[in-house]
Amino acid sequence: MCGSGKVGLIETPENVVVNDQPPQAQEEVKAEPLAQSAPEVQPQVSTPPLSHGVMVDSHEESSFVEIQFVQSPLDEIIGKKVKLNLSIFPSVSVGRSPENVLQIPDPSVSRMHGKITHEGKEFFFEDTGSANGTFIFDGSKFNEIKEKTKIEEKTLIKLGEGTIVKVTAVRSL
Amino acid sequence: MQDLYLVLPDYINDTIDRYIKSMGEPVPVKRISLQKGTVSFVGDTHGALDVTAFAMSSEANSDLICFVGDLVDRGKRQLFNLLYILEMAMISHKVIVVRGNHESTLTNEVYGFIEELQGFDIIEEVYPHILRLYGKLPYALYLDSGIVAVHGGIPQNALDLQNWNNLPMDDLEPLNTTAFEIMWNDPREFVDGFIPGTRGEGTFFFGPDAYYRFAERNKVKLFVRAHEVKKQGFEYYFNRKLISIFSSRYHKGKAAILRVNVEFPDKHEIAIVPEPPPGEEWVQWPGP
Repeated sequence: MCGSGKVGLIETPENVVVNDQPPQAQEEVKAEPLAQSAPEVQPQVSTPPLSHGVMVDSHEESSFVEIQFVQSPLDEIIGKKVKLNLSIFPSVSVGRSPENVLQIPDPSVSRMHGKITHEGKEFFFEDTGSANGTFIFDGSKFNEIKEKTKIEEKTLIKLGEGTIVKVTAVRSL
Repeated sequence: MQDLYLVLPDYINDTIDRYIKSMGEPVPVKRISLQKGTVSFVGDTHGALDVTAFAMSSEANSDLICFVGDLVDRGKRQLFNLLYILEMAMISHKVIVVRGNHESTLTNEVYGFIEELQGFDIIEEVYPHILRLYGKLPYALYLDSGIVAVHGGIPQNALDLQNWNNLPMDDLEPLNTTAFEIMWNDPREFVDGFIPGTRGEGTFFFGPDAYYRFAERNKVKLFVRAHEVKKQGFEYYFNRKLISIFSSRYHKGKAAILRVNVEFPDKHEIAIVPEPPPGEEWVQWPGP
């Protein structure tokens, strides 16, 4: 009776809340291929420590992008800020699986969803072939990005169907 | 449904039609003048008839009990939850129903109410009356002490409460975007103004700046809304000036009831509806 028809519910963790949607919205969510059909390597048992790209010491001199979760199916992380260090590697991965530098707990976000890169003095977001897309807010609506797109302070990025992050600070050294 | 072997469409329609008649001239914003006393708010019940019954008992001393929408879909006793609330409203003269996004043709087919009515084999006879009811329910309750209750939130193009009085009634989806947003929008602490929501086309998140603008313009002291599952049954937003309340047990969260002193809206209580005893289906009233 609770069936919303929303694809991805099967892998929705207990604590993820999937809110009701008007019917037309549900049909737009595309299926993520299930794990067994994917030829890619399974996540390693020993995942790298979070700190390999997420900064813990804010005093160190490095280039970074700080993002804040504005919307997430997981209530607890709304408002959380994450500072991504782009000095060690000029590219950090974003996605649902644990091997990403920025892990997004949202069934509509792909395991490998996109990446944030640092080139020259600028930062970019690139969708790396996600199932449900990446969108950037233009002041009135979210537009899907098909290629590498510049991000700066205050940029709002929607990942998949249920997650919105805001760029709250950037620093390029 | 085998325990409900006798369902009479005429009897059901009579309840609905009498309730519509008792509402008088349908208005988009139901205004009530109440200078002191207590108002209780019940969020989405979604067929949780036991929670509704518990609330009617526990809030019996309140001057007003407002059900902030979503009486049907999802839960176990959707039709009976609706009928019980309507009958109680007529008996007690102090129950108000505000329309939720599930009092709509958009949602009933997908989320269970149509299925329940089909199971009773009464859909042809009863659903037209239910739709007529949906079209007559107010989108908002406004208490002149400065308390507003809606199902979803504030709409981006109508921050002036006066404009809500012109919203069309008998709009079953509704098609009017302001009415739609009042029933569908969600508050978010870290949003600036309004941004498109993640529920789909036409829904928005509104941030603190938008809310404070609305509150100041309309002299609103407390804003009550429902619409979102909360693990604790409720959540505060915007420096506790907005309270989100949820009252169904079918969504992995607690069912809460909000009690507000209309003279001092900051002074409110939140009661958590108890869980049913182990092995039991229903929430039980406190015994003698």
